[in-house]
Amino acid sequence: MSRSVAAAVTVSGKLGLSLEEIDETIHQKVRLGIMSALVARGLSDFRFLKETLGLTDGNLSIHLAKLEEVGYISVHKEFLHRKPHTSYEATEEGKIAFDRYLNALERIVHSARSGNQPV
Amino acid sequence: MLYQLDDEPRLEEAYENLRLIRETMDRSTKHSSLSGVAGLLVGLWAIIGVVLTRYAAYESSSLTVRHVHLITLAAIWTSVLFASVATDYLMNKRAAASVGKHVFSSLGARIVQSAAPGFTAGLVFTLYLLWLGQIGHIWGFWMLCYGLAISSVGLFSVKPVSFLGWSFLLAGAFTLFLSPIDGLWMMAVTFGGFHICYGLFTGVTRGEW
Repeated sequence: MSRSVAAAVTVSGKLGLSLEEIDETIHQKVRLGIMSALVARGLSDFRFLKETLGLTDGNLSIHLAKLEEVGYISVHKEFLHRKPHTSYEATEEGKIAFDRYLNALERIVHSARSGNQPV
Repeated sequence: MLYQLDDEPRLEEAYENLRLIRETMDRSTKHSSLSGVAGLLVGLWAIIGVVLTRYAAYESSSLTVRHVHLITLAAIWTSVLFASVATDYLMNKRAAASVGKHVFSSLGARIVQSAAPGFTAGLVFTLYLLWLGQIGHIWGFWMLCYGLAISSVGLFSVKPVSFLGWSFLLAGAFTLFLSPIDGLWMMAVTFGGFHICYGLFTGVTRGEW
């Protein structure tokens, strides 16, 4: 089970939208970018993620570690041309969490447009 | 009223995050807008185009319009352009299919839009030099216009694409001062060599064959 901090976020006040849990692990912008890239592309190495997301090594490493810690991504280490090569992949748990988060965002937008309470 | 002002920050955040997701996913699959194999093949088509031009389209080394078989020249480079676009399209389609996406995307549309002015300028210069009877000097202009188009595409892609664009721009500026025949060989160096180098670089360093 993920150790992710899943916080219940109530869409504020006057809308009265009380949505299901928003996964705070994915909600963070950098981690959302990482998950989006990995879900879209599949297995990707560190360099690809760094260039695609425009991040520094340190910043990317911190957020990858967080996603790995909660079990949303898996890490594959190997030697390529005698150099260490690290790749990352979204786990099934990570893909489910990503889908759930995406659905939550879509419900916020849909609710605002229709004026209805989200399901 | 569907919602009130206090709700706007949350709604805007939702829109922003959805946009981030969409753009990142697009960028991830369009990352190899010119894959390793595509780069090698596009370079090869260009070199074939240069060789064919030199030995099939020109009658002498002066290369003014009077010494060029214009229909042959047009046929060669239209074929090179078609083969290059088809190669890149098929490679992109293969890459997009591998992640369950369609080759056409909003980012793809923006890439085409951003490249269009450069290609249009290339067409205008071609017609202008034809009118002047100086089509032999077209090579540097093609490099400049292609470099402009690729530099624009680089805004939506990885850094090596921008580098490729600027390389074409600099080579084009240099080629303008060369003789037409040397300019033609520069076509082999740039459209051939640059693309092949880019293809090898992309394939070897990024594993994006």
